[in-house]
Amino acid sequence: MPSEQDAEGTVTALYAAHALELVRLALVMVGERETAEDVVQDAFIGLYRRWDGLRERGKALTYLRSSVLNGCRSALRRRRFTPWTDRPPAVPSAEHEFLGREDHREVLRALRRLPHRQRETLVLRYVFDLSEEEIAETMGVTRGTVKSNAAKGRANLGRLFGEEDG
Amino acid sequence: MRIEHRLRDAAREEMVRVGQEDLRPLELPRHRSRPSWRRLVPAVAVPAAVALTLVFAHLPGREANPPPLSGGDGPPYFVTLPAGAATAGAAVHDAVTGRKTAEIPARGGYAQVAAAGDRRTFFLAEDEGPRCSVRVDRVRLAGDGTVAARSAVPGRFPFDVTAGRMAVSEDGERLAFGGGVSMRSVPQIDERDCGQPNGITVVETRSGARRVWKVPPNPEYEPVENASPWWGADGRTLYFLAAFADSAVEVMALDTRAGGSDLATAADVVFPARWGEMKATGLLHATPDGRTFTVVVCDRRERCGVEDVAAFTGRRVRRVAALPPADWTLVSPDATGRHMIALIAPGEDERIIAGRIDDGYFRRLKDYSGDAGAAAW
Repeated sequence: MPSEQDAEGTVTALYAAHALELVRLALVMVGERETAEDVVQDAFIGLYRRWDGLRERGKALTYLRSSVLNGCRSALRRRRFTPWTDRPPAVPSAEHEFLGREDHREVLRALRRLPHRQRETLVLRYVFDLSEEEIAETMGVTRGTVKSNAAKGRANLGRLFGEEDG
Repeated sequence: MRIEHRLRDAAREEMVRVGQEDLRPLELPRHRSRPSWRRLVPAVAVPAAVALTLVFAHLPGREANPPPLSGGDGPPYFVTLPAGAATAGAAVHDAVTGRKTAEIPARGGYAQVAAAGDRRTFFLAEDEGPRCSVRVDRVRLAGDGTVAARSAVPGRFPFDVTAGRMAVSEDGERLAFGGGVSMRSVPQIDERDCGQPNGITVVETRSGARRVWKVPPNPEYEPVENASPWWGADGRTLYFLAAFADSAVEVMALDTRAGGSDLATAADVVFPARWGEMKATGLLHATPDGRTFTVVVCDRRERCGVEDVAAFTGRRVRRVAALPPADWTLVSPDATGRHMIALIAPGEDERIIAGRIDDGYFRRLKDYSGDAGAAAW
């Protein structure tokens, strides 16, 4: 059984290697940096606490991705139905605003309106370039479900913009 | 450009807002628990289940086992919406068992649901997109919980229907949409962005006529997300929660028949809704005489309960129910305020527990299943 230091060192190393990718994943999902960072911190703390029971430590990144997606789902639920929040809203930077990326904002807003499985599948597939197998493992579904969710997600997202899926 | 390419471009632009140098250091807890997975699962699951039972059932003066429901206890059906779904419809459930009795398909995906006082008429709002085009459907249920009639409220409405909450007057004649209401804010309204006005929108369900009350611009921004509008019994007074830049929270009343469109001057304070570390986070109900309000009260650690509060003095007079520590909880009252549907996500998985609170008793709806994010009855 590893020592406390082993777990701490390993999880810290994983954080150094993957935190940025995971915060970015959470940011795309929830659109708010502070929430994204909170979700990722919670995921690593969860991994640290459960380290001894983790059967396949080589799949720690998969566990972290799953945990981040769950955390984002919870954050989106809270945001929608928790009436008050002390957190500031996502405010675009001046540069971001200057570039006038209205289309990008619309795409992301539409993405966040998709059912969560479609939303997550699209982001993992087309933004993070994960394979169908990796996505299936992360989301705990079959490859067939990944294909189906990707197709439905593309179609729904396209429909929101009046485009044919092609 | 194909939609996946647009998604990739949009997401990557969003992602570059965070760089490696921006990340805060990992803060691991000092002590790490060491249960194995096999021991951890029951260790977590059992206390959670026990907690749900105890928190709801052991209210002061209540027996642990609630009496059986009778036919007249609350509305017969409730309607749920899936969490964050743009393409899914609504589901109708039996309010005693939780069993699904019907589905209400959507064109885009319903984002809001509210029930009129007749317990059979529901209003469902969805954004047909692509740009701020909200439609509202009126659905009437038959006695067996299936859909008897469905019609559209005239018109399309330009705001972000996913924010805040929709309320319908008891007679079903008027809808209110409340996003964030901050009395000292700069509403970052951008019609192209579908920005929810910082204020209240009222829609007449027969004509589709719309009226908006906004908060005038002010340099201090206080973000809020849900004004929790609730119609008074007279069908013209709208109660809602408002936040102030100094962290005050107040329940306010708006006379929706009076003139003016400046919410800051048109609405009156009913009572302050902050008590030290506790504050109201949702307005659930107002009695017909406007003297007692039912609100969700939470502390800074998000320990929450449903409480009755006296108007004018703001005195907390009664705890209706403590809400269990959960990942997410939604409480939705019926028109009388005596019966509430509770949707609870106890943990990280997607499982939702549905139950109802009647006069302080919690009953789990055992035949309920679904990933609901909203409910009304």
